[in-house]
Amino acid sequence: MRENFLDASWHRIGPLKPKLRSHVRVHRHRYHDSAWYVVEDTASGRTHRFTPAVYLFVGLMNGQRTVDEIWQQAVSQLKDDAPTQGEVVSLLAQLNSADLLQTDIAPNAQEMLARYDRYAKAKRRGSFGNPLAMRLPVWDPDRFLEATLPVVRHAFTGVGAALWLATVLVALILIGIHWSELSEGMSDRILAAESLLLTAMVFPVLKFFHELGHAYATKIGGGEVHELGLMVLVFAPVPYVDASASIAFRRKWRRVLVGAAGMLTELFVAAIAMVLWTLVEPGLVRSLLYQTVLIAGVSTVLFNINPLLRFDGYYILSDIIEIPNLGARSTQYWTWLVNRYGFGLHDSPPSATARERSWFVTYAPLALAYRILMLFSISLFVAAHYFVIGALIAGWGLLIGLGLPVYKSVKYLLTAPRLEKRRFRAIAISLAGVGVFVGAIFLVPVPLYSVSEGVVWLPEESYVRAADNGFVSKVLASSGADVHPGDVLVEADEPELDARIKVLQSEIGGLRRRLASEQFTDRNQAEITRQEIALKQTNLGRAAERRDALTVRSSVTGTFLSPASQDLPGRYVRRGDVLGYVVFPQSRIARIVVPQDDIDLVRNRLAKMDVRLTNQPSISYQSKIVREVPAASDRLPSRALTEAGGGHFAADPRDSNQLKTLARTFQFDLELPAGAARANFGSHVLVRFDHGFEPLAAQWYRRMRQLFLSRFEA
Amino acid sequence: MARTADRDEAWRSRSPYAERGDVKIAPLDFALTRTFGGVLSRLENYAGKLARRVKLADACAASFTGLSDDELAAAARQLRGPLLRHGFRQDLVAQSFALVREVTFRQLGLRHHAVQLMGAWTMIDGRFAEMQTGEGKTLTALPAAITAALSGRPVHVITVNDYLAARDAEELGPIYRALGLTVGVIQHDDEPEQRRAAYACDVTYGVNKEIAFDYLRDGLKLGNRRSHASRMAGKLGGIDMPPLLLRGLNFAIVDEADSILIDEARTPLIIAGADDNPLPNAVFAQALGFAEKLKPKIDFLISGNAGHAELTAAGSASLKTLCQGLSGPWEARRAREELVNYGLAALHHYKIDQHYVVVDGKVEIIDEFTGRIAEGRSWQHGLHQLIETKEKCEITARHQTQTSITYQRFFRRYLHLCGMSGTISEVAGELRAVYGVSVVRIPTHRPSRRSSRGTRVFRTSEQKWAAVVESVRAGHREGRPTLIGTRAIETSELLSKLLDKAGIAHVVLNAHHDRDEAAIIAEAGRAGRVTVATNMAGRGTDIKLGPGVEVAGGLHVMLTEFHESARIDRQLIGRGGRQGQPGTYEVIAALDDELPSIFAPALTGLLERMLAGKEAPLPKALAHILQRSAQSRAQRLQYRIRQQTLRLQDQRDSMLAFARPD
Repeated sequence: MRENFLDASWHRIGPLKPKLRSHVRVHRHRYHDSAWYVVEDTASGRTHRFTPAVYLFVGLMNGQRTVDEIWQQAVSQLKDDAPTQGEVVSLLAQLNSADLLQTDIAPNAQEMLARYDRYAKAKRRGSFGNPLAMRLPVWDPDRFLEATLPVVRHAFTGVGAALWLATVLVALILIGIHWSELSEGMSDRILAAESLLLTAMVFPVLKFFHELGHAYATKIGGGEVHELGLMVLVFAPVPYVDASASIAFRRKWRRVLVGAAGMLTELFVAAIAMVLWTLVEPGLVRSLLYQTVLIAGVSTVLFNINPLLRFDGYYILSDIIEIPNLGARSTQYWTWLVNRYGFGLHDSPPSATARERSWFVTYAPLALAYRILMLFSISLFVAAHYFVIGALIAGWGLLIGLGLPVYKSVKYLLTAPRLEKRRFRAIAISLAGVGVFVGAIFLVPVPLYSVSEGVVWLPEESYVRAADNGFVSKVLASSGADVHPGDVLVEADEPELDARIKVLQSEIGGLRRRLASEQFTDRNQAEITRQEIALKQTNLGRAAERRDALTVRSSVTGTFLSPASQDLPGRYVRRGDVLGYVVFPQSRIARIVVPQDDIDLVRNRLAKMDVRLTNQPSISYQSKIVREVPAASDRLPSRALTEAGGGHFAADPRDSNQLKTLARTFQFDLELPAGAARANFGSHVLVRFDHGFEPLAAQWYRRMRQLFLSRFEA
Repeated sequence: MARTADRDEAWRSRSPYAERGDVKIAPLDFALTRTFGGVLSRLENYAGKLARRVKLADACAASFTGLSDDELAAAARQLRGPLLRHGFRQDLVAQSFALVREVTFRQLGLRHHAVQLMGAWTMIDGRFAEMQTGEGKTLTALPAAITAALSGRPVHVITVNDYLAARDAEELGPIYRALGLTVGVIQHDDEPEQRRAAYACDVTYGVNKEIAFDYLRDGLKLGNRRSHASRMAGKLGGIDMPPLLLRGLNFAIVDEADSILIDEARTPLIIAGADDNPLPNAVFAQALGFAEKLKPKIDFLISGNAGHAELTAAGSASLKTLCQGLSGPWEARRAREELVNYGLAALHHYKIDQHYVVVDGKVEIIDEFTGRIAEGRSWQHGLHQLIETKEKCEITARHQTQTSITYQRFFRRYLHLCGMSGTISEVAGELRAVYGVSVVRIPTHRPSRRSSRGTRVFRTSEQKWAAVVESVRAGHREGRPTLIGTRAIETSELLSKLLDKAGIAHVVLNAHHDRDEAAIIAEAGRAGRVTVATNMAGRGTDIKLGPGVEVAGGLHVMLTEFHESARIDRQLIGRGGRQGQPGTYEVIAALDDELPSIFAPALTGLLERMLAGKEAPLPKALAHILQRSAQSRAQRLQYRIRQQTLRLQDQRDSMLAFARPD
């Protein structure tokens, strides 16, 4: 419906003599290329933003002029930008609902109370409505902040800034120096049970400092901070502070400072912790400091800087680009886009410059996609960890985060009077949109693949092993030489064995002689001696075999490789010890490990495989499975595959060998193509199993089912 | 009871007189009540309870029969105190009812039937009574009105037209006076003084629109001093408080409750006055001049059939250059573009004889649905004036709303709302949801002897009218009176011509003849009489049968078209076979009637092909399906319009809470 210049309710508004309530303060702000007026209600702590055209109107309200007079004046003064009566009506309504308006007629007490109730209810709902992010106001810190401000004030001076910069620089240098020490086993420390406890201890304290940072920055700018509380984010209590008074700050960088103060504080704390870390002896305190550096320096910044969620990064971004209220206005702009081009409503576009429009167009969809992603992953996480209650709470969270907006949109589509004449079109377009989306998920096949990893492995015939214990006497083939089957590679001897052969030989000679003498005298005794000879001969044969085995020969044609051929001579090797390898073109296989979840796909739906070596990540090879171990195992073929070794499989920390995994896996041997000549034995291999195409819905369904099977045993 | 009293007194803080505050109904409550309210009301077996109570009244009867007229008036006086103190206590109501019954018998020679007392008691309880047509609703309202008046409440009896209000007040006046009560009537032409006097009476008869407008006028007069308290304070401060017309919205008995509370509740009542800042007439001529200079497709686009003209960016710029140097509305972009947009619409979209006609130098709108002239309606936002300029008519003043109210809100403000109708149970759910009043079905006094002669739907109007004339002739021959209902004045006049041609003597009753209504109705029941009436004339009138007619079979009612709701059909049918008299009715309609072609176009098209070339009407079942689907679609549309009226008003009100209330 098009807005008309005159409004049907003007008779109720026109004669009023309005003015702003006396306690509000007005600030003029410049945003990029336009001026805005920010009206601060010091009683409620809320702020409201008006365009100059609107403010012209508001500024004319002095309690003497009637609305009609003001409007006439605004029309003659603003000419082309003159507001319509309808806009004036909604402006006054907005002022009233913000408790800013005072008129010459007695306020409607009933309505005011009802509005207050609504406001309180909305606030309660905002606090407790979402189980995944509850807010509990705890404390009014304003007086505390006031009292401590004289001290803290120095932090916000040039000296403070220099101090901050110096500390952080020092910490950065220290990090550079101790980098290997710090990064070594970082993943281990993050996950270890002890460090989880430490995190739980350090986190709230850090966050408290973080919030104090915001609060002081607000106070420094002249605002008031009346609410500090606990937000229960996915069951983790996190302090929060209400710094909305900073919206009224005139200077942009002051506002940015309020947004950034939390992170700056934490970075400072992290820097101090870093310096201390280098000073103290290993122990609990050092672990604590390490955690502090990690949380305050890395996780917090990474978490807070993201502007797609309504945390510090968002406010900083919207202040820097000088688009206040970016999220809401972006959503508004999209609503208008849909209404205008989708449903054909001729609403006037929300006021925005070209620069703002491009921000609006990008921000809302990104934020929405990210929020939904977060919502789903958090819900899954909660549901998986706390079964019944978790599932309920996750369901509630999803309902509020996803169900409510969907319900509202559907309700708007079905009942909004403004869609009266276009409802069919609106519903058709919405259905088409949903249909395309659902169709894409359910019908359009997208590549289905799974990824796994393994190590380069050799076949058994490539191993050059000592067949028996002995001292290596000589390495005949040099490392890197081409060898053929039967070529002697390593010779070893075992003095004891030689002696033993000699003993056996002479014993056999003695026995033979004894046999010759007894043959005709004592037939019984001769038979026994014969048996003895046979026994000794068997022993001798075996000893000779063992001696022969000390000469190690190649069984295949290939290249002899021995990593330690120089050290071998004179070394005592045990039977089975690996002396070297004979590598031949077909010798390299990759032994890969596939988690249980993917095993069915790998076994039954394998279209092709891509193998990449970590040392040549740009080249991919086609491969095929040559052998598979039919049973699941909880052993990894190599430590390279555990998380500690750079792989993705979580090893059981109780296992001293670090080869036992928490979840069972399957092993496959893949043939490595000839081209992969530079595949170093034992190095990492990444495999992408291509399973053809399948719609997303089917893929998700499979994953969900597996998740439920494993997590809920249901 | 204490709670009721508190609630009843709460008005002092916000109103000058007794009325209920506005409540917003939660959408879910509304939807549930609307869906299940009707069923709930029916499950109560309220009528059974009422029957027992009426026995109480019967028991009291003996104590009054022996009294003289003066003693009856004294008895009424004695009842006032207890009724005021205890409210509508059963024994008091029973006594009052018995008293009214006795006085009515003495004055009019009629005694209230048990079902009429049941209906009255339903209303005392604040409910709607569904009573079959012809059960004597005028008399039914009487005990309720008198009991309420005796308890000190100003009573409004609300009827659908001035004629009925005047007639009822006049007929029942002696009874009120015999009981020491005064009766007033509001008529359309009354001056404020007369109105104030009428409202000062114990019982006031009037048309809904009149009373609601008087209420709005009171509101205008009150201005910002709305509450009783602030008026009192003003009086103390020596400020002259203008006298009000009404004495509060206390007790309303709504006759034909469904037409007033449902059918008429579509559009809000608006009091409009001349614009405070009128635009000079030259502006409209300028606007048309600019509009003519703009080029289609380049400067502006006209979207589809909605008649919205929209300026392009180029058009906006060229308009700006066109009106360079002009003052007034031409300075503000929105104002001038709106004017020119409407100017473009006036030039390119609105066409004479399609959207409007010019009668006696005045532009009159043609209703897009009915194709009839919508008298008194005008386009808003200057479009009307632009079209007047285009047609070179005299330019009327632009109207500006001064105050408005919806019927829903107005009637909800009554402390006690009740009423009756013959056709109300279909909308029981909605009535309960909107007004918080449930519906009670009252059994009939005597079993109905009305019978149907079937429904015939022809393919064309010609066939229909031929069948109508044929049927009239047959009834005429039998010596029975016939009442033919038509939907519009034009059709009643068309039928009149056809009957003339067929040589059948008849009378036409429509808006042009409403002065003679009483006389025409009085004659309509005589043997062989043929009356053609538009449905507006049908309601609330009792057609008394002439001698010998009852033996011949009573009144025959013919419907020549389906109405927008089955309720209106039934109201018309209810003119015949009243109070246990014999009567017949039939429906003769055509596929090219307005209702099927607008509200069931697909089905109508199908049936049309089926009937092509045939003289015979539709099979009965199909006719029924057609009626059902067209009427239910029309009803849904009506309901949506009412809902929207209600919702818009609620939205506006919560937005404008800081402003002067309407």
